[in-house]
Amino acid sequence: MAFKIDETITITAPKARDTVRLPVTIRWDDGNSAANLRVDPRDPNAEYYGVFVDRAPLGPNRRIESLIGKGDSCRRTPGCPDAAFLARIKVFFTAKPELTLEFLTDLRPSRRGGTKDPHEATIVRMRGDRRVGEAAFLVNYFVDRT
Amino acid sequence: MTPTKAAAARKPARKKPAAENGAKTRASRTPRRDAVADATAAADAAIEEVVAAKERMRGVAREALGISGRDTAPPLREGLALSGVGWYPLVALSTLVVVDELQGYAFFVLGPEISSTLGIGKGALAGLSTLKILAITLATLPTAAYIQQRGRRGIISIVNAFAWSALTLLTGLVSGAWGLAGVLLADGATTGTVRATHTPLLMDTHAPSVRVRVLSFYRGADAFGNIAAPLAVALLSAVFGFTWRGVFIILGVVSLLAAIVSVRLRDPGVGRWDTARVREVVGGATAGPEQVRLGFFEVCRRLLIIPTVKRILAASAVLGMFIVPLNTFFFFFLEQRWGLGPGGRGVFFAVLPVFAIGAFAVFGKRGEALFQRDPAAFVRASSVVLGVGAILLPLSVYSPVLLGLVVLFGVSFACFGLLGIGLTMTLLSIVPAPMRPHAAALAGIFTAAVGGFGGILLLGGVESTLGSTAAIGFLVVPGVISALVLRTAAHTVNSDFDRMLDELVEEEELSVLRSRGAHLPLLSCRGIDFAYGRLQVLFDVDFTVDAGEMVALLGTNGAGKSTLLKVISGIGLPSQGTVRMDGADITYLDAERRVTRGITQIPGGRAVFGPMTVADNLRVFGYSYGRRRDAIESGIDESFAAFPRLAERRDQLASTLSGGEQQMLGLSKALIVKPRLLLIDELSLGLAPKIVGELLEMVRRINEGGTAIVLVEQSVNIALSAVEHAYFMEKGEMRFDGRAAELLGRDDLLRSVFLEGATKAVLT
Repeated sequence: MAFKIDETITITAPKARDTVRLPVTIRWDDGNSAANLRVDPRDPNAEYYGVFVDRAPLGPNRRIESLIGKGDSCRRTPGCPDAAFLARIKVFFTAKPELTLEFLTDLRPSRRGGTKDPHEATIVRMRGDRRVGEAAFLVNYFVDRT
Repeated sequence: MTPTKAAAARKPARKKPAAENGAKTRASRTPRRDAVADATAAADAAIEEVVAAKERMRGVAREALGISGRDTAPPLREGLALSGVGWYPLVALSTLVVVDELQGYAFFVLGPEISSTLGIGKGALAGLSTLKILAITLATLPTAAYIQQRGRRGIISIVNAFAWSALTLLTGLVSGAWGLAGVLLADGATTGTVRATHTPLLMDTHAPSVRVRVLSFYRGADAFGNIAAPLAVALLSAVFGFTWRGVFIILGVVSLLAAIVSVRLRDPGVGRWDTARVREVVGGATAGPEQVRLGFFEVCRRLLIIPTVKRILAASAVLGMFIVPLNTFFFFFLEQRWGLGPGGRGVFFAVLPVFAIGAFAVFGKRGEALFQRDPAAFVRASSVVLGVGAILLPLSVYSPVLLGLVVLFGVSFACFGLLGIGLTMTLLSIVPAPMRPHAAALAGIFTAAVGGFGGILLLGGVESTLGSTAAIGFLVVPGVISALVLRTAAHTVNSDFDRMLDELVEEEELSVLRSRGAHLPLLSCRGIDFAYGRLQVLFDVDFTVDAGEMVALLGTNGAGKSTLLKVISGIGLPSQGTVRMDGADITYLDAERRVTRGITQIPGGRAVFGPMTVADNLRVFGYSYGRRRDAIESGIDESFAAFPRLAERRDQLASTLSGGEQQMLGLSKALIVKPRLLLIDELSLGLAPKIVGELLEMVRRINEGGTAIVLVEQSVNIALSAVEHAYFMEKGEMRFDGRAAELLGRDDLLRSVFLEGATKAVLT
């Protein structure tokens, strides 16, 4: 359990509450190391980032499989959860400290609420098929829908 | 003209039938009846003495409870000294309410961090918050039920404070959604307990002359918590770098310190400044009549028929409609319209309580003086405050400059704060002290559950189609309506206050009489008003029956005889007046509890269970009233001995019996239940004279056994042949109370009955 804020990762783009246009690239600085990272959920030693877009991240120490819903057909599909399934549920894994999103669902509560479409992204550390630690790094931003 | 006004207008024509008919005297045929008549006359005199004292003492009691009619209030320091408690209880409870704000606000603000740490979705988090609101709402009622007349609110407040400190600490240690749900539920329960405990405790701890200022101080502390909470969270999180876990741990420690500060809180006793002061001015009896403690639901039911309470709860619901969903919608609005992020929004909401604290400081003494001069004026002022707040808040969202928004919203926020004090003070002043926790709990439920959830649904619909600005603007409609509703409470608050005083004075007067050894009647109804919805059918009805007495209650069809029986048996609750049994107030007691006290009613028509056999009907009577098996069997034997025809038909379905036999079966209930007071409605309806004669003979025998009987009849001849004393009702009023023989000479009254009978005879 962490009682002091982990500041090892700093999200550099977009800045909190920035308004951006699609495609949007999320970038961050990792104070620890970003050199030896690789995405390989099958290797228990592989470390990488998990980016959760407009949704809650995995709970601490939870496995990637827990993202599959109870009735989801993915459970019966060999190789699932794969990248396509994860992208569908807005979960992305990357070894680089950045991620580009081409499309985002319009989340404005109503079209009368303005042109700013609110979004958020949460970055967590992953090792093997699990989330590591409680540290989570969150950024809120707007997509311009004019 | 409203029904009440109509009743008031009609009272002089009807009032005091005893004077109209001479002194109430009861002829006698036997020594037993002589004794009964003497006792009843003494009991009548005792009750008249109580009524007279009630009217005489009302003004004195009002003054004793702080309604002096003068536009002045003593200095707060003086009032606290008079209360004999100093500043400590007020400061301790205010400290607790501040730290309660800290925990609630921290969870609200740190929600996104909790969500990303634990991997709990926003929807789930919102669900948990709703669960907490539900726990707050639901906990108030059992708390009220627990502390009802126990006088343990001090220790409950202390235990509660330690519990929520522990829960705040635990919040910082949870590792998943289930743990969080458990902590939030328990935390909600502790907050709910505060709602039902703190304000009634403040009311009982402090003298009436300082209560408005005490409540203002307490609410001011609450508002201070609203300022301190965002500052504390920002300081711990942004400056000292604590995660949400760290923030909760530190807030838990702060709560613990506040809990330690509160350990000297004590309960001063329920009604210390109300019942006790009235007792002093009435005469200070030590041995009162047996107190009947109302059950939890009986109290709630009793509160919900007080006109001012109904209006205040309606206003509370609308207040909840403003307050509860406003945070959500206003957060969206501030973000969309003014581009305020979490920090800006935090500052915005931290500035608002400054307006409230300023308003409380200005209002305290003035509000106090206003309430002491005239509670109706105080309620009118509260309705104006609600109206102003309800108009300014929606107006604020159309302000072209941010400062305008802050000022308008701040003033509106202050208005709602003042309204909270106005509603609490009025509500808790017009209900008896033991019922204050229930009243506070009901107000909380109407605010959070009825108003809060209703507001979310209503505003959610408007917001999804018209946007958040329009949704907030829409609030002006329910706001103004509720201000108008609250304004109507100004017409009822004084009479409700007087009614509460009357009950206290009556209780104390009866204590005095009992301590002098005065004889009190078995049943005494005084000043009964009853309405079916808006249709009032009983008007200031007095009715007395002494132990062992048999009286007839006569009147035309629709006169209110059966309704009066309902009020006596507890099936209907009066909107005004008291029902006493042996001097104990049973006005709001549930019907089944009255049965255990000895009141049984045989309803009009065929009071049997048709699909059951005769024997089973008799057993059911016994089981329903909790009689032992051997007592039931002996009662059944007695019934069969009294009515051999029932014995012959013991295995026959009740629905196949003749009308007379069904009435015999109904009457057998009395032989099994053995009540002290038997209410018989329309014994002779549709029966042959011979059968009626048999039934009347049985009624006499039951009466000879010591059971008092009220015989409700339309047939004057039948009723007056059986009783010495009669009452006559017409159009909801008691028109005659005297000897049966005298009633026979009153053509002016009986003509209507005979004419009705004659008309029926012609028509049939």
